[in-house]
Amino acid sequence: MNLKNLSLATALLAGSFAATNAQAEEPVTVYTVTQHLADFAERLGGDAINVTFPVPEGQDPAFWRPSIALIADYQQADLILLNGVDYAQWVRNASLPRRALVNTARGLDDQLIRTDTVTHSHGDGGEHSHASTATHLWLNFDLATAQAEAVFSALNRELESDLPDSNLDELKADLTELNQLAEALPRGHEIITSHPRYQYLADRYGLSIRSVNWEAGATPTEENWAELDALLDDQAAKVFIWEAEPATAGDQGIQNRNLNSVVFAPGDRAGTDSDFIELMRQNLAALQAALEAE
Amino acid sequence: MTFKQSISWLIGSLMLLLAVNAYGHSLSVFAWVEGDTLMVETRFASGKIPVSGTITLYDGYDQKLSDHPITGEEVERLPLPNWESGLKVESSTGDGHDNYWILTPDDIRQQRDQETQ
Repeated sequence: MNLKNLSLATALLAGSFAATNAQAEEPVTVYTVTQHLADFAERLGGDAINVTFPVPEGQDPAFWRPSIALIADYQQADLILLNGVDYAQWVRNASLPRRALVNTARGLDDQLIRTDTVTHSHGDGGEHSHASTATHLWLNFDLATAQAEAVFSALNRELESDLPDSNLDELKADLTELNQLAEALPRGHEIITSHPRYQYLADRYGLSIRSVNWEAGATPTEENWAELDALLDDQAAKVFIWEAEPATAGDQGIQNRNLNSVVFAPGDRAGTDSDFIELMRQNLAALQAALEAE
Repeated sequence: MTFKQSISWLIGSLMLLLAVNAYGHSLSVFAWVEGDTLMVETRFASGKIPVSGTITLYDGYDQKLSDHPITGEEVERLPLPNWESGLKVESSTGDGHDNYWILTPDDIRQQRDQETQ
């Protein structure tokens, strides 16, 4: 073998190694159905993964319908992180690869909150009922911790290597801090929320929460105000929680009813400037101030 | 129906059953492809097959392709339209009962490939 051939062979061998390494180091692709799961995955997986949460800002991920092209993207993902409990209803309307699906609520059945069951009859479908389960389980930070552990386990399995345990330990420490902040919230005050999303927060931290069912960000209608006034006639309340920044007229209407108005973003939507932990710190601080205010 | 198609149908029926259980209120829809035929199953929560209504097909850009009456058959068989961008199969029986199934181009390609194997 002359020098020229030796150089060529060396170059080919080096190229081959480079290609193999590039293939081995290609990040695992992770798609999620909520922003909070995307935040967890990014913190736990770091540079070893590429995380995509494709729900556009301003849309509710629970009821969002992806385009067929986006469903095809989900189908190509190495991992699809689901919240479970029938959150992201579109998941049941398409074929997703079983190998990639990770139900982060698996094993939490006995801690889930069942909501009202309604039985009724109309059309030619006969009598039927719908029972459902409250979906925002991550607002109980113990359950959020269980979800983080499920994500960590799935990432390790997919990467076929061990991510640093410190990644999980640090996230769990932050969630423990959130638990402490939520446990320190003043009790004994009535709270009303703009949407029934806070069942786990109420249940885990002993808060008394009732809900109206208003559209996030929209100006409340006369019917909406009547719904709220009926609740207040039943029992007075101190705090009103919005899930997103309210319209000015909405906020004014709340203040006119002598309620302390506060935004507590659930953390599942895109478009917040903060990651999940920081967002929850802000939420809890704002709620504490509203509960303590005169 | 080949063995593979039978397995696909069985898995699909199981998914449909799970969907029925999960969504007591809504209609459940499952669709798959056999050759040049689009197969559509629609069920009420009770398991009953609707006897009237409409199946509407949309392409991958959400453009409506065609309407087809629900005839009460256990499986409605429709001619497979142009599917290059995928298909959304929407069944509606009125009274607020409607639901859909998505077939991506890969889903359809794989199901057609299965049949030819």
